[in-house]
Amino acid sequence: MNNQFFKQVWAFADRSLREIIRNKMVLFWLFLWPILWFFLSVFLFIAPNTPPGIGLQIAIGTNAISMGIFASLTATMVGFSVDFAEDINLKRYRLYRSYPINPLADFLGRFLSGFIFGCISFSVIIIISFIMGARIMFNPILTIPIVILSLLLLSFLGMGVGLIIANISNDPNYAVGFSLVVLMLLFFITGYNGTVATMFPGPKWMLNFFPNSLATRLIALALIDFTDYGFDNPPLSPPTMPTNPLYIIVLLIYGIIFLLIGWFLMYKFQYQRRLFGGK
Amino acid sequence: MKKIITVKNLQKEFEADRVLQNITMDVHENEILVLLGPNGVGKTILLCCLTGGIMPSQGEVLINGKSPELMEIKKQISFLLQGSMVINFLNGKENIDYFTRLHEKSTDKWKELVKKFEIEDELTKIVKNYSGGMKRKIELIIALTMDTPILIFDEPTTGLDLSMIRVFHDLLLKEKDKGKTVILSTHNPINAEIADRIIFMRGTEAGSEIITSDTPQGLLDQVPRIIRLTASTAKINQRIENHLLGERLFEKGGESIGFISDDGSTLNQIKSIVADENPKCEVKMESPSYTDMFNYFTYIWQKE
Repeated sequence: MNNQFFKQVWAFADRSLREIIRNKMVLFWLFLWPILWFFLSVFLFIAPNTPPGIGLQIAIGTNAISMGIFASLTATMVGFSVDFAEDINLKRYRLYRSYPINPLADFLGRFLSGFIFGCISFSVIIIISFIMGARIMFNPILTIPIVILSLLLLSFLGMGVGLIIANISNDPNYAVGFSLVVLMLLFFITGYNGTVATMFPGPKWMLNFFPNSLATRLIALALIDFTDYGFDNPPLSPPTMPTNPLYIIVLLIYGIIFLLIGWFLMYKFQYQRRLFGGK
Repeated sequence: MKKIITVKNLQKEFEADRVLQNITMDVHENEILVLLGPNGVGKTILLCCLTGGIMPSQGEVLINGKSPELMEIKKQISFLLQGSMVINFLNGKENIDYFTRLHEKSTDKWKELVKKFEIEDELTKIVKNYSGGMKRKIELIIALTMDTPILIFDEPTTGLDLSMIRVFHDLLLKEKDKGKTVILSTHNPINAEIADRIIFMRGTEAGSEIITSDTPQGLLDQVPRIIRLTASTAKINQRIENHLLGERLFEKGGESIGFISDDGSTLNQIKSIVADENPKCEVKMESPSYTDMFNYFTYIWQKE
């Protein structure tokens, strides 16, 4: 990988960051939408049903992480889909294919932009929850690596799904709609990203294996202070929390798989034009 | 001259629609080749096939003997694709930065080009608010800032005023002087002025095809003489139309123009009709211009 490769990565990332910042509709979905959901769930469901004290502080914290993951996935999936669908819709790939572009640079550049927005929207919700009294614990050695790794790997998932959605929809507006539907389904089916285990209809142990719920539960372990309360309590458990370090490897494997799928789809869909006719 | 691009029996279909059929052509090193034809004949699709942007359904495209899909070949091409290039939410400078980062043969020539195209003061404005002509200028600056031996432009002069078209032509001639090869597609006959060779494309039910290829003068020589009528009336036009090739008159700025066969009898018949209907109407026989050539090959010319 030479200097030109990194220039191309930055070209895609910089363009995407600027486009998202200037698109009010996308900014709404990326920041305001998850924050509104967070407030809604805290004020309508958590606060009225939880007695004040450690339990409430932890519930606000886990909810913030759940919504933060939701926000982060929204950032990668919606941000990526909009940008990418615009390029497909305007047939810009006909031009890109004539340029000496490395498809991996295209993928990673767009990913970087989604990841940056994902981290920002996640952090905004965590800060808001902290101000509202969530029991957030900040351990630089443990918290930052786990949070960043989890968000990074989830972003690969978001990109892969966003890539498929953009290819199917072809239109930035439809891409936003489809992405939000997929996100909402994922969010509710996995019981608020694995933070309300009772909502999940299947065997509870699976919540420690779905990429979005596993990432959420790992971040909860790293970011919430469970002192004097314990983490294996409802609504997080059952199943028991993923305290075994092997779960990080599971998440890592997911990340690598989604990275490879994303790169493969980008290459095949758009650069080699072997799938969907390469519009 | 060395053939730099060869196209053999190229055909392109999108599902059931055949856009291009049986395109065979060569592009020579250091020539300015103008691909001329009306809207919708597949000029853009042909250019995309040449640059590797679209895969032909059949046939072969080779650039310096190799597939345009190879990275080493892509580095030799700078391509302006009309309507697909500028990004609306970025400003002019950000658009230039974006594309120059993507192409490793980019230079800082854009600094000089923004002055030539008189867009220096507009670079910090969001492209969404640009006019069509301003967007085209940014696209031209991006394409011309790449230092590649092959420059390919899709409808580069659409939306540009006449003075900017002259600036663009002057720049292309300088690129040619440096030994570069230029291909441009256009429906604007003014671009024929700088061509070393013109390929004319026209649509048929079976897909668009190349109907003729020659030097600009060679093509003009294939076009019959024209008659120009000033102060004509609808009745005169109606009466003389069946004496014209293709039985058609082209209206432009109060004048009517038609193509006639070179024997003097047709001209005499037309003059007699005009004298009969309106003696104030003037009839002149002239050599065709590039615009007349465009109209002839688009609307009158028939395959033998």
